[in-house]
This record gives sequence, C-alpha cells and structure tokens, in this order.
Amino acid sequence: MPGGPIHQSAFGSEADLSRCVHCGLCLQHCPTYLETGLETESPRGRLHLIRALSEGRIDLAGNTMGHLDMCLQCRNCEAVCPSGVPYGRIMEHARAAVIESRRAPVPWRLRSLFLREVIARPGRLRALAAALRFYRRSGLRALAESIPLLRDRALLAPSIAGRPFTGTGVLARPKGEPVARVALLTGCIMPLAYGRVHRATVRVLAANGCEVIAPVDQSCCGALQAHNGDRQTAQALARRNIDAFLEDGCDFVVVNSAGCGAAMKEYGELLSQDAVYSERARVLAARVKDIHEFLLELPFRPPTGRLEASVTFQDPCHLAHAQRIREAPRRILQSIPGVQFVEMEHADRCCGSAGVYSFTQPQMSLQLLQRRIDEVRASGAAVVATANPGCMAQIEAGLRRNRLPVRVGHVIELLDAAYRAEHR
Amino acid sequence: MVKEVSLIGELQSIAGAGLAEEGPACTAFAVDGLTPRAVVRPSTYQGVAEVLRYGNTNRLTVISWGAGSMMQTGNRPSKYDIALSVAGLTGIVEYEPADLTVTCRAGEPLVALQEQLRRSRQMLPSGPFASREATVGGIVATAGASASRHAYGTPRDFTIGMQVVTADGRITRTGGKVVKNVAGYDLCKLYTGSRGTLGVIVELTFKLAPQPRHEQREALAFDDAATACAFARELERQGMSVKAFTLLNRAATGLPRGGYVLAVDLAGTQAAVNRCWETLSTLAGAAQQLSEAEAERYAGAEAELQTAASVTLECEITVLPSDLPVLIERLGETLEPGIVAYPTIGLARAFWTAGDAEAILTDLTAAFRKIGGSMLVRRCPPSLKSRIDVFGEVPPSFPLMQRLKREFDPNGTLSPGRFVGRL
Amino acid sequence: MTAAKRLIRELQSALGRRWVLHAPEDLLVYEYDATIDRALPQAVVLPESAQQVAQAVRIARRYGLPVTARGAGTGLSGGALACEGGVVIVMTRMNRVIKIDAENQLAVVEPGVINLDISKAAAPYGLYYAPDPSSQKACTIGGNIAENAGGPHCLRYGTTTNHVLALEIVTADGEIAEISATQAGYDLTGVLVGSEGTLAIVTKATLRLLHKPEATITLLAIFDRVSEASETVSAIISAGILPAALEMIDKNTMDAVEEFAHCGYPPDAGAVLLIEVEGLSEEAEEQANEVRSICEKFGVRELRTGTDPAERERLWAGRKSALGALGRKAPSYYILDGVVPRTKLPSVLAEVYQACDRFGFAVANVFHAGDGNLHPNVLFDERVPGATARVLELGEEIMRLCVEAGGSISGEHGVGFEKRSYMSWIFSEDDLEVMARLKAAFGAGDGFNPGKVFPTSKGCGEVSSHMRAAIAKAGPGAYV
Repeated sequence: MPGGPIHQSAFGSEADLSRCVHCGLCLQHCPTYLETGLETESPRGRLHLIRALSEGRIDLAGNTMGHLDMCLQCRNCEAVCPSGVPYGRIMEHARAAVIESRRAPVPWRLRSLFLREVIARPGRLRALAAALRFYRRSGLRALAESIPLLRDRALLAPSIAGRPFTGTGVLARPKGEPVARVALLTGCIMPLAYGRVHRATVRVLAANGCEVIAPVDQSCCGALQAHNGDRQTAQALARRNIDAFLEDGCDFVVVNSAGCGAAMKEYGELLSQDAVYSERARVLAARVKDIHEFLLELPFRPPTGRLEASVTFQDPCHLAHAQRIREAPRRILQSIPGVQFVEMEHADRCCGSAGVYSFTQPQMSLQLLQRRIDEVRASGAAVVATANPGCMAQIEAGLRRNRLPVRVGHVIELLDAAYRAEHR
Repeated sequence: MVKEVSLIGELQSIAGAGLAEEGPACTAFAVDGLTPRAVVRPSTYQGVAEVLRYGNTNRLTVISWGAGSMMQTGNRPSKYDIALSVAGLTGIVEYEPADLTVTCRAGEPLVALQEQLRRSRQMLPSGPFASREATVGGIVATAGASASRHAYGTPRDFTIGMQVVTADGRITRTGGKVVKNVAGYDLCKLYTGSRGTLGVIVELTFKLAPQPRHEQREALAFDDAATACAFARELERQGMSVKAFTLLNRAATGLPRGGYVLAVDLAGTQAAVNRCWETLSTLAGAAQQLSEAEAERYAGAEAELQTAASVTLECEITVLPSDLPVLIERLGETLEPGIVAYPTIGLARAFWTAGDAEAILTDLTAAFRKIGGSMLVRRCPPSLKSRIDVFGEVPPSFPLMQRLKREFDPNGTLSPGRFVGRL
Repeated sequence: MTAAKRLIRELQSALGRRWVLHAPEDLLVYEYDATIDRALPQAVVLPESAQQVAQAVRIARRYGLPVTARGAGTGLSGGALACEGGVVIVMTRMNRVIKIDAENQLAVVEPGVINLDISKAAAPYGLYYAPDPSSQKACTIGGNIAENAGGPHCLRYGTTTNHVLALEIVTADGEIAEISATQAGYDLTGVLVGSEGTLAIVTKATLRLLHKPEATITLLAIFDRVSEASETVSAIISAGILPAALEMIDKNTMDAVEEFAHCGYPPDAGAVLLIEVEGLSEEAEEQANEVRSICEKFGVRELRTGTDPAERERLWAGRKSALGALGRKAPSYYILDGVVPRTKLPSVLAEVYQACDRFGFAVANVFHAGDGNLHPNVLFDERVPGATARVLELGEEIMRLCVEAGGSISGEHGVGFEKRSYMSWIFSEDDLEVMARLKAAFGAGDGFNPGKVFPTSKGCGEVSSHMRAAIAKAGPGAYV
C-alpha cells in the first residue's frame, strides 16, 4: 500500500459532519446530482462518504475519490441547507486529508503541483499566459476548435486576450477627500486573462470617490489550492496577503473575482490554528468586500450614461452561495440606463467552470455549461454579465461552442461603460 | 327440507325472533328477479358478523341491503340465499362539531344525518340523493356521487374510517376518526364502491364540511352542449364559488324545443355569491338566463328521472370533461334520452323510456370505444342482464380485482356475481 | 460465478452498467433517508422506464431478493430503506412531466418528478398541484404517493390520495398494470396511495390539478399562551370556516426561529398561528375578518396580515425555516408525527410538554393545527450515549398520548419501520389480517419493501434491538 496511514479524524470534524440530518433539501440544488440522479454525486451522499471515511467504514479505494472529485464545490447546497452544514469547509478538509494521506491518485497530485508551482507563482503563470495568448492569436485555437475530436477539450482552455493588468501602488486618487481608501486584490489569473476588468474596476471605484491602491507584495488568494486540498500552500499565500494588505493600512480590500472574495473572507477560518496569524487573518477577512456589495454600501452613484442592451446575470457560485450576495450585482445592472435586465432560468446554478474543474472533469463541466448556455439563449439576452474570471471564460467558451452571438462581461465592465458614456 | 328450517331458525337465534323472516317478506328483497330464502335485520354489529359467519361456513350467499334504492344496479347475482339488511343499524355514534367529523352506523339515512348536522351548520358533502331513504352505508358502498362532487369530491374523498364485517364474520376497523391518518392500508378506498362484495360496512366516519353561508341557484339556456360545457369550465377557471354544475337536455327538462339548460349552484358567502352572479351574467352573453322559478324547477329534474318508473334503461358514463360535448351529442342520437351531465366532472347520465335497450347499448358501446372512458348500466330490463355486464368491459387490472375478491371472500359469500366481470 | 455476481450481471444487461450500483461505497449512500435509521441494500438500480423497473423486479424476484423503491430519500418513516437488503430501485431518472392537460386539469408524470416541479409545469395554465409537504422542493411524487403525503394546505384540499386519479404500476411478478380511480371495479388506486411501497411500484401517475385561487390572505396571530392558540383553532373550525392552512408554532420554535430568521416574534409570546384563507377576494376578505374577530375573542395580542406574495412569504418565513432553525439549536432532532381530534389539541399538547420535561429533552412544536396533526420535534445530541434510545422511548410515549386521545400514530409521514410496532395499538389482529389479505392479493408477500407497516420480527440496523425491547415492554395490544 503506497503512502502513509490515514488519520481518520482528518476527514472532517465530527461536529461539522453531525450537523447533516440527511433531510435531502440540498439535492435539487446540486448540479451534479441533477445531472446524474445519483446520490453518490450529491452533497448528502458525499457528506455520508466523508463521514464513513472518518469512521473507517470505507477507505479511499474504489469510487470514493471519484465521487469527492466530482464535487464542483459550488456550495449551492450550503446556501440552502436548513441545518447550516458547513459543506465547503468539510469538503476542503476531506480533500486535504486525501492529499496528506499520500494516497491521492496521480491526477490529484499533478493538479496540486500545478496550482502550487504555476498558479501561485506569478513568473511561471505569466509564461503560461504568454503561451496561451500565442495559442489564441496564432489561430491554433481556432484550428483546434474546428477539429471535432479536439473541440471540446480545446474549448475550455482559458482565453488569454487583451492587455494584461500590471498596475501596483496608487492606482487612482479622487480630487477631493476620498470616501474610502481601498486596496484591490489583483490576483493570479485575472490580471492576465481579464486585465480590462481590473482597469474598469479602478475607474468605477474612482468614479465613486475612492482612492485605490494595489499593494505590490500581494499574491494569489489561495482559493484554488484550498479547494483542491492543498491547505498548506493556501495558508502560505494567505499569510503573504495578510502582511501585504494590512501593511498598506487600507479601509477595505475590494475583490472583483467572486472566488477570491469568498476565500479571503474565510482567511480567519483557514488560519484559525495559526498561532501568529489567526487574529490578523480575522482582521483582514473582516475588511474584505466584494466589489458589488462594496459599491452599494457606499453612497453609490448610479450612472447616467446609457447602455442599450438586454442583459442577464449568471451568479458566480462563490458570490451567490459562498458570499450570499445576489441582489447587489442585479441592482447595479438595473441602475444602468438603457439596460433591459432579464433573468435567465437557474441563474445561480454552476456553469461548470469551478476553478480547475473544467480540466479535471471536462465531461460534467461541458454538460453543465451546455445547460447554462441553453438558458442564456432562452432568456434572449444579448449580454451575459457575471463576476468571476472562471465563469467568464467558461461562458465565453460555451457561447463559441454554440456559435451564439452573445457577449460576456463583468458587471463592473458594464457599469464602467455606462460611466464612460456620460462623457460622450 | 331440514336445512330450510335450520336456516331461518339459525338466523332468528342470531338476530332475534322478529328480525329474521322468510316467505312473503323476502319478495321485497328480490334482486334482478331472484328472491332470497330469508331476510335478516341484525340490530348489532355482532349480529351482522354472526350472520356472515354462518353463511360463509354453510356456503350460503349473502347480499347486503341498505334502503335498497340502488339495488337495481349490478349484475344478476349468481346465487342468493340471505338478504342482510343493515337498515336497522341507525344512529350517530359520535359527533363533535368542532372536530368536523361524525361517526354513524351504516343504516343511518342520509336525510336524517344531514338533519342532525345542519343544527351545527355542518353537512356531509355528498349532495342530495334521489331516494329519501338512501342510507349512508349504501351511498358509500355504491360510491354514489351527485353534482356537488364538483366541489366536494365523492365518498372516497370524505370517508375517513369504517367498521366492516368480513365475509368470515370478523368485525374490523380501517382508517380512524381523525381527518388526517396514514396508519395502515387505506381499506376505506377499497370498500367504497365495492357494492358489498368484499365486506359489509356497519359503521362510518366522515370528514364534514361547513354549510355554505349562502346558496343561490341559477340556470341558463344554451343551444348546444359544447357552449354550455365551455361556459361551466370558464366559470371554474375564474375560481367562482360553485358547488355544482348540472347540464340537462331537452328531454330531461321537458322544454318544448331543442336546447340545453345549465343549472349552476352558487355557494359561499353572500358577497362571493353576488360576485359569482355578476360574473355569470356578464359571461352569459347570448345564453338566456332563466328566472329563479324556472331554475328551481330544474333542481329536481335529475331525481325525477332517477325515480321514474317509466325509465327502461339508465346509463352512467364517465369521460374526460373535454370529451363530454361529443358524448352528449352522440347520446342524443340514440332516441333522445333524458340526459343529466356534470360538465366539470365529465360524467353523463342518460335515461331512456323507449326503444330496444340492447340495440341502444350495442350502438353506444361502439361509439364509446372511440371516445374512451367507462360506462355503467344503472338500470336495464332484467332479461338483458344475462347477456351483458352492466359494468361494461372489464378494466385492464381485472386480474388483480379477481385476486382481491378471492382473498377477501374465498367462498363467494358476498353478493356473488354482482360486480364487474361478475365477481 | 457467485449468485451475487450473476445478479449484478443480469441487472447490468437489463439497465446498462452505469445504472447498476454495487460497490460498497456506492451502496453506502443509499443506506439512509431523512430518519435516523440505516439499512444497506445489495444493489441499487436507476431505471429509466417502466419496462426496466419490471425487468429489475423480475430479476430480484428470481434471486429471492426484496425490492424497495426510492425517490429522493426525504421520507420521515424509513419508507425508502431496504430493511432486509435486496435491490433498491431509485426513481430519480424517471423524472419527466409527460403531459399537462390544462383543459381537463390533469398532469401525467413519472414517479421521480419533484413535487414542486409539477406546480411549476402547471403554472403557465394557472393551475397547480395542491398537496405541499414541507419537503416539496426535494421530494418526489412517487414517494408522496407511497406515503400519502400531506402538508399545510391539506386542511382544505386533502392529502395526496385526493389528487391521484390513475397509476401505472409494476406488480410483484414484474407485470406492468394500469389502474384508475374512475374505472369500473375496485378502487385499486385508492389503496395503492399510502401503501408505503409494499404493494407495487408506481411508474406513472395521473394527478388532478387545481386552479389557483383568486385571493389568498395570510394572517399571523401571536398569542401569550399555547392554550389560547389551540382554542382559537377549534373555534375557527366550529365557526364554519375551513382555512386553506392553519399552522401553529410554539414558543421553543419561535425562540429558535427568531435567532436566524428574525421574524419579529415577541420573546415572551407563547404561540403563533398562521392562518391562510383563500377564494374569491370577497370571500377571502370576509373569512379573514371573521378569523380576526375569533382571534381577538381568545386574547390575541398581535395580528399581522399579508395579501401579496412577498408579504405572505414573510409571514410564512418563520414556519418554513423552523426545522432548519431547530437543526442549529441541537445536533439532532427527532420529528414525530401524530394526529388527534382537533378538540383534543390543548390537552394533548400539554401532555406532550410534560412528557418531554420528564425525559429531560427540549421539544419544539411546529405543526398542522387545523388537522390536529402534531409534529413535536425532540431536540437531542445523538453523540450522548443512550440519548437516541431515550428519545425513541419518549416518541413512543407521545404516540400513546395521541392514540389515547382517539387519534392515530401517523398523519402524513407513514408507519414505515419505526412505528410498525404501534400498529397494534390502533388495529386489532383481525384488522391487520384483513390488510394482509390486500397484500396477498397483490402477490407482494415480502417482495416489496419488507419490514414496513406491519409488525414483523426482523428490522433495520442498529435501532431495531431497542424497538424490540420497547415492544416487549408495552406488550402487544396494550392500547387496543
């Protein structure tokens, strides 16, 4: 038997697990259960498996790891759980226990390696981005996506286009006294894949009277690493960010990527056992704000510039379910003159992006993506707004796959466009 | 000869001397021309049980009776030894108005029960029945439904508990006395409408309904059935407080010329009834709204037809409500019977006073195959009963029903041959 | 090849490999439902058609294995648990709404359809499916039919059985049969509903749909004492008003709810009634006024009214989040389900509180007061040694209180495994013998969902030994 023994209790705390009374109210909110109809691919089923692992009733052989891996960690179940089961935390701990057991299958280990050694390392990530940019610009992507055999695999590779965002230090300063001094989390992939969103965010914050800075020493937030069981790397990244952001003494840390925002709000939990950092982690976590909620908590200035488009909103899971923010992005979109806001069906159901899920579970990812694209089509919207880089890339891929002439944008990009239209 | 003596003797010793009879008294209990050898009217559940146990052990067949007003419906019994009347089992066992339930014995006449309930402004939501003698046991055993089924459902919907004596003479309970109860199999459903072929109902518990605060009967004349049915369904779609819709054709109303009358029974609070009346008047359009006196006149039309001795053939047909106009039209082509239909239920009753019953039925059965649904011949000349199954074609699940009958009545003691497929 | 392997092989060739589960970790997640019991099946299959259900039944029968049908596993009586092992047939893939016939107000659906999805499918026609169990967002219609599910609005509209018109079933010998409540002959549909999966497996259902009422008014009435609230319930019914729903929430529930849902319940209130009246706007308004004056007669301290959907939802929020809120109060809760005549509510409720006090458990009552359908929720911690056994003992005592008051041991959750030993409290041996005849007629024997409804010797997992002890203590027929 390879690897060391598994500490059963590592699979999750008894207190967390025993909250689940298996009422089943989560089932109809779980994307993978809805696709398969299988209890093994449901939150309740996975909790039961984790509990069985922790009690030593089963081990990691067989299909167990596959079931744990099929989870998107979208936390839709957590948002609807009447008993308040902390599902996201339980799943992260369980995956960490698998990795620590050293019995994780090769793909799990490769994934960990990639997240630790590439995503969390800006230099390597930039090189990867350059390669991907070349892939897109050279026409290789168009070629790959035109070959039926390759199409679906090629489709979900992130789209790297446009100018990267490289700003650090003070990014914007209003003329008068700023209403708030905010630090922007620039993150790992966002500045490379969607530099334009960061630029829009800075302008929007400035338009609402904020001073915006980007601490130079900040790093990737650690969300993907934590979700995939590498809590050590996630904790290391969190400590770096805590140092960087607290150093700069900002009032708030503003995040425009839903996954990162959710992760940073949970730094207190991630570092709760850290003797040095636990208190500072809580302090920082309390300052973290999602851009949408932040804007509406300010005296928000509704734009007067027009944007003629029918727009729908696809809730990023970690905005709607992890951060429980649903109204703010909708209110912002509805504040834009000319925007016809239409709800798509199942707007808060996962698009299948889910961090690296689209690579680890491409089939399920595509299946979910297709559902969302069909719902976008049915909504009749010309623009899909969302608020997370993964979701943006995924939906863009789905629209390409369906040759659907619908555009994707971050909510803040649309708001920015409306502000800019004021000057025309 | 010895056995003859012992039958009546035995029954008298069970029920009491005056409560078992033979000879002339039996003719009143004849079914389809068959006269029983004895009639017994036990005054206790125990008495019913002993009669059945005796009959079952001695291979004597028993047909249970209430008031007998629905006895002409059914296939000809294959054998008929004892008429078991539960008409003596009358009275309310338990009635607490605040519980909105009542428990009474099976022989309690519906009219008497309603009288009691009315004092607390409550009612058994069964609607009225043609016969004033009809017993609650008989109504449940035959699943008798009236036009108020539109608002209140059929006996299966408001019967929540029963005591039933089985073929082998066990007094059993099913359901209970509370309005919501899922303990054990719901045998009430099985006995309801089983026409005494699975057991003899001796006590019933019902879920009651409050009396409507206000009632008003309206009637409208229509040229064709389809428009009348559409009118009824539109009122329903708009959520009007209607207790019953009854559609009558020319022959049923005695109107001089063609056309249909739709009687609408409004029920609810005064304000709601007023509002319904307004909506009805607005929607009526070209349809002629009849006077109050005329409307009242049609109230008794169905009962009149049901009790009319001149009726030689009576059928009850259930189809999808959307198919009802076609059915009514088709029925009209068979010597224009009197037709009473419930548009929102999809039920039509047709009454013929002339014509060859067998020819009509043959014609109808053929037409009926195209429309689909179920047909029950409620009344027909006894001679015809040897050639037809009054319940129509046996349903696809008939083998299951046969097994049920075998399990509940292995000796064929209870009303043998009378039910669907001559069970 | 062993018999077990041959069984799997045969099931796989009938249903396809993907839809036959047999690995220990895959079976494990089918050992539970929403109760505290557990039972592991030998195989789990997920058919997509009645034909596949029939094939699975025939194969299981050939191997002498029992079959248990399962929907979403949200049941509260162990109905979906394979108490004696065997094959579990999961209906989640048979989840199509086949037809909405608006003209005839019918829906034809497969058993795996979620209850609420039927109303969603019917909504464009102004129709809905009335029975609304609290789990209606998750539970399947197949499970609803098996258990004759209820819900708050059963008071006026009846339970599942009043809304099922016809069924397609697979019988124990693997035949597909059509039964209908309107066809000639015995009402097989009526007995199938609520038979807890012991007679046949439903593969298709025709349901009655209702028109949405024109107006719905929700009243929330706050009382100082439970007794005042329960007397108000009786008074409303006596006054000839049949509300669409009439629910009660007691103090313990309010305390729990207030912490999470912030409904604005006063901290010293004793009970809340939620009363919903429906119909034409005139009628609803008139009834609401009458209800208000009855509430005032019984000393209501505060009345709130909701007429539009948002307001009504706010008033219902406390009721709907009650179970969840209780889940946060204690690690475990045990939901009981008993019925008493409406007029016995005040006395039985008082006895329930006393019994819980005696056992030392907190209890929260949130229930369908209008039907007399009690749901005491006993809060406990299953990790405390002996707690589960004590809770079950308390549950038994509360059931006795209901039976002694002339009620029943289940109003809507079903008898299942947990309560089958109480059946003899309300039914004699003869009564049960007649029910067995029905089972025999269906040829089901112990082939479908064995160990449910009727008292037998074998039982589910860990709890069974305790249950047997409880039965031995009470003695059969103790309350006949």
